[in-house]
Amino acid sequence: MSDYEVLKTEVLIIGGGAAGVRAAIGADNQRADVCLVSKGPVARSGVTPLAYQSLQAAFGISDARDNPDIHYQDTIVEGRHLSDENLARVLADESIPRALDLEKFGIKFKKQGEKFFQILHPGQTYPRNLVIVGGGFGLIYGLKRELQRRTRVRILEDFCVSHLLEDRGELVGAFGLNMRDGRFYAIGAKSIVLACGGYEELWGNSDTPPDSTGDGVFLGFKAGADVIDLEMVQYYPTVFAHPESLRGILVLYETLLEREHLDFRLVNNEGKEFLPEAPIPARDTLTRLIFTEIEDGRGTEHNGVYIDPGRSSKSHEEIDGLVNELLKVPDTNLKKLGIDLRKDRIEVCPAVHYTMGGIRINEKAETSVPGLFAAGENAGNVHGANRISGNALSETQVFGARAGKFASEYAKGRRHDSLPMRVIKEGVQEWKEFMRKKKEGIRSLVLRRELKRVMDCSMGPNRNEGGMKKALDKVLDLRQNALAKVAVTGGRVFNVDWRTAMEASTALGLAELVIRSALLRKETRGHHFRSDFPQTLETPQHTLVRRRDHEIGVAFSPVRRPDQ
Amino acid sequence: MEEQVIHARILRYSPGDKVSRVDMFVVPYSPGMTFQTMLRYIYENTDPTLAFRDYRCGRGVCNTCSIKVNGRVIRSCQTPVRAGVKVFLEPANDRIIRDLVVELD
Repeated sequence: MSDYEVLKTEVLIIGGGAAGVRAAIGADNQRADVCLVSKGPVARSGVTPLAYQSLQAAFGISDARDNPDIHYQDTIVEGRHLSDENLARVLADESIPRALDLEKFGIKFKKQGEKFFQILHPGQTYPRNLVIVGGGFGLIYGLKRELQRRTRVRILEDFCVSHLLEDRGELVGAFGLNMRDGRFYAIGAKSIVLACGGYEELWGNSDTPPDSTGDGVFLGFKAGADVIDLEMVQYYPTVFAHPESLRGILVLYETLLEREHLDFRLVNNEGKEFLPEAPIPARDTLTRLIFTEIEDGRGTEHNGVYIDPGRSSKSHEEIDGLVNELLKVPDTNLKKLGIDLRKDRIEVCPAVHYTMGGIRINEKAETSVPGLFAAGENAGNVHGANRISGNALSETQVFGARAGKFASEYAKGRRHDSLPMRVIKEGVQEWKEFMRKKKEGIRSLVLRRELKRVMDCSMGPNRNEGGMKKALDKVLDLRQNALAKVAVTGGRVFNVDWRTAMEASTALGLAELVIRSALLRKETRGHHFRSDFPQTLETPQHTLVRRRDHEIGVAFSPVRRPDQ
Repeated sequence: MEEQVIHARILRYSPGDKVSRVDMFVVPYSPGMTFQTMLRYIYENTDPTLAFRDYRCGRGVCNTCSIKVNGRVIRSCQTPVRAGVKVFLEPANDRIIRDLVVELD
């Protein structure tokens, strides 16, 4: 028995979240032959199930003055003018029909009578967020059901793609490891959609699940696709820093800290409050204030700060009532873990929440590599330097649908359809190389842990050239020296260490690109804060990373204005 | 004070094995520990070959971390483990891929 399988499809979708599943539906609508592979179980892995309930679409129901033009304006203004304006236009226009598609698929929204209920979130001129019943899980569960109705679509779960295959400069498929049977698969495809989400897990402080390692961004980069604005990383100010079992779980700070709510206080390890007088600062400022306390040595044992209920102006009875009414740390059994929010101070820290950078796309979700498409968080130039609430899920649907449609069109128009044995053998060989050296040596999880430490330390919300250059040296050292010494033991089927080794390799490669992009951007814009360059330049420009042979090119690229 | 530990027996099975086996792990307890963080501890410090689903959401939403503890199915990220206990861990259903990893519904 050979140790690899060969499959063929027209459109290969990599990623089983909201964008990937929507792309598969879009491609199936065009009657293409579709295969979707996902690193974890569809609808039960990645970021989508954890997303909050908001999907932005300018129906103008809550306020009749709202329309797609204002949605478009909000997106580019709040994105600090770094969004590709043509993509922002498509996003604003098509969120409406894509939301209606979701209803057709059976996904439920909160309604007032017959009409969508819309709420206002920061960054929106008028109330625009639709409320998905069941949040991100409700969305992806419904999408998965719709996908399962389309019985022609082939789904492979627990499948890790290691690289894209090309033959004489043309994209011909992908190669990967099927964790379920421990075998390598070469999948021949006429077009490929990358929809693997973001790269939050390069950092230790993140609120994402462990699989968000930016696989799709690095796969695209390795295949020669342009990668854009990787330094743009959105933080959420407060997640649990401790205990380990709660690390990364969001703490809804507005409810805890607002004077009219619980009136708890943020304090450092000296017990001192460090926020200015009310109101509570916006997220980017709050993140920086907390981070500065930690950086300057006034943090807690687990590198956080405290939320202290002890100084609240509210009575015990008031607190008791409000905690029950307002506080939904989703489903976590704080009390069972010995934490009582009414009495105990908790340790919180800022965490990477969303990555705005990714693979550069155009309105057809095409990347710079013919036949390669990208959508959702995997793509890069939609949100610019800051993303407003509700646009993440809208993006998955608008560009997921477009990627599926245009990838099908591309596949239908392509005559060449071969996956030469030579290319397959190269793929097998590459894997065997990667796995062979590894009987004794370093555990790959040690590399991932080390990378996270470096990224938290130097690539956090406060950045400067000296720190980032040190981080780059460290990352290159890990990549060039430690990676070759990684050991993997055990059988082939569902070998967690194999997958961790792949992810460590991807994360280290991608971290280099993130740091190089951040070094190039010598200004402060949105979520990229340079303490050595605090001013914002007049003309916004993208940072662009591109592989040419074995060289990495980093350069600026102009932001596209309408119809450029 | 004597170090507090957990005695965890885990059912191990790999495809191709004729029979499964049971491995015993002694894990140091830490406050706030759940079955998920305990498994992670074993994978990181004792046995790199332990197969379990670690792409957990950590919030009790995805259910991929379901396992059977002393005969009862639990979500391992949502279930605290108590110091000093002896527990027996098995896969959550009969469709075993390897060790504690099963095909999900």
